[in-house]
Amino acid sequence: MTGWIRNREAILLGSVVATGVVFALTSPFFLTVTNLSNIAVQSSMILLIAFGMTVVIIAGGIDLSVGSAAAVVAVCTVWLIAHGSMAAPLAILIGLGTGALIGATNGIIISKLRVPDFIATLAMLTGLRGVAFLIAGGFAIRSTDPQLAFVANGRIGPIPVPILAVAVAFVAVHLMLANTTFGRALYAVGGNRHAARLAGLNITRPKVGAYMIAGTLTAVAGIIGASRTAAGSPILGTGWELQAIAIVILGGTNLFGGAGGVTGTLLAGLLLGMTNNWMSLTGLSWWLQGVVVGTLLILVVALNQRQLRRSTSSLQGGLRKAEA
Amino acid sequence: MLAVLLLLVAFFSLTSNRFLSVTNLLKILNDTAVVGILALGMTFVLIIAGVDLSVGSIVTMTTVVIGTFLVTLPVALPLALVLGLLTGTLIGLANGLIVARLGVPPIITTLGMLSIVQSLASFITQGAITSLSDFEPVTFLGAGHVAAIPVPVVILLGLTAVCHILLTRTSFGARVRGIGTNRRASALMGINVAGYTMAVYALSGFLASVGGLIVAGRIAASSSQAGVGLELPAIASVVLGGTSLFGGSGSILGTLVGAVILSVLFTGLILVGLPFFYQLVATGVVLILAIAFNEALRRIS
Repeated sequence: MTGWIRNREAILLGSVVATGVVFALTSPFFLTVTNLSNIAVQSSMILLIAFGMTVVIIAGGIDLSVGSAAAVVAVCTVWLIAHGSMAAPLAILIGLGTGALIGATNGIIISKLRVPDFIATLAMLTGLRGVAFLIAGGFAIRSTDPQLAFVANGRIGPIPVPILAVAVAFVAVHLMLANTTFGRALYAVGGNRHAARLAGLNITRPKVGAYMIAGTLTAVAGIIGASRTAAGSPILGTGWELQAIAIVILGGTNLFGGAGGVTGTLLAGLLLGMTNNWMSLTGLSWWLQGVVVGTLLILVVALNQRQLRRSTSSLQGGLRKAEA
Repeated sequence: MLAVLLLLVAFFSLTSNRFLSVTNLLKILNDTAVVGILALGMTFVLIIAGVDLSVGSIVTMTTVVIGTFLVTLPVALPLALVLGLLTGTLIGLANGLIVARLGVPPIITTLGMLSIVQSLASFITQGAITSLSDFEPVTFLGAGHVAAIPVPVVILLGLTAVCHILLTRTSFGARVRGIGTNRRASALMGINVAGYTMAVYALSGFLASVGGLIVAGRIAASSSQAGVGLELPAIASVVLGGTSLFGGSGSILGTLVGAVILSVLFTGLILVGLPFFYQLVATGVVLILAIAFNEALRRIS
């Protein structure tokens, strides 16, 4: 299984390079430092959310509430700055805490009330959107606070802050998944809940933890979104859940949990970001971007399923031969 | 869940003197129509342990197809309506094919389809809204009356009866429930599981298109935003109605009750004077509480 995932990451890396070459040849604007940095900054929000989604899906869950959660965090943070006259760094910290709290709520509803992940987070998608509208009073709250603006537009050294945030999140989540007991517990719970429980694992804690990580990373994305637009908009993040799930699945993480990683997610996210950027540069209608994302999603999973079926049927064939 | 509905009705009747009137009750049923019709199809899909997230985008696409064929490339009105109904049926069939033949999980298939169909609808309209107010038969479907009863209510009740009979009194219904209970056993018994799966998704798509016709008539326009987000209340109605998310059992009448509960909640909250945004919060909370309650009951028994 690990070999297969490595293989998948190599194929993805190849696709990123190959499409990069094709795009560079077909648009003179593609391969410039400004444009590549644009792609990275534009992809940063959805990548952060997709990293969190990877963790949740590995743990056997799914989080449909991410787009609405990002809106709640953005609206909360900007409200505190604009109407609560709070210092931006403190408001941002509270925003991050709100994200973690939303994640914890998801996790507790799922683990303690035994509501299926899909329904619990679908309900949160609606409910949180309502909360965002209630806090904002129906309209976007504006704020031109320079410290808030720094989150999306500032640089530390030569590197834009959002790219730095993605890099830090990537390394942290990767190390957590690969090297910590908590990371291994996520794979165990996602791969086989019953076996994990019988082996003496606490199966609630990894699940709640996974949703809290997703909530926190979503909060970072929401704050970047608020900073880019200098406003807390209650409609921020509409449809992000689909994009994030698509990226995670394209990246090779198993939809049913137990296997996957953030390297594939990062590569798949960059691939989609590049494609969207190229479609805009070459004037292909951006209305059609959803067709590309949807078709890719279905095709990749269909190919996976075929491979999976072939490997299981050859395994069964081998067993039958062995019995004979 | 009928008890929950009665409790809600009693509560709102006591808090608002405008709630319990024939006009308001008909209005509630009228508000239920589109989500209710989507939920009828969704019931069959959940019974075979699937899910159909593409229904909202089908509603959108149906209004766009009708608009295109009535205004941009004019064809005869009946033909335009048939093409509208065909739209959802074909999209549903495509969903079924991908799920049954390619083995792609329903949530991924229909999420991908939502993205494709929504984006095609935006591409065709380029974001513009086409007025259909000159086409009387279309507006009749959404806003007309038959003997003082709104047409959408007549369609909802008629389709509920048909779907109830289909699920409980026909071999089709029995086999669909069989497949939901045990897919492998059904296949071993020689039932064409792939065929029934495709039929169920096609039915869900067809019913979503009927919903699309009603929406087109109600807003007297085609719009690339017409059905955005309708999948959630449809799924919520089915689950509130007692159909299991894991397949096997379900009830059409329960789904109707579930859909009415949501409308009562919406209308009631407005009459009580809470702003629109509370509806969103209330839907989420009620959905979680209802499922948690069901789950607790199941564990006790």
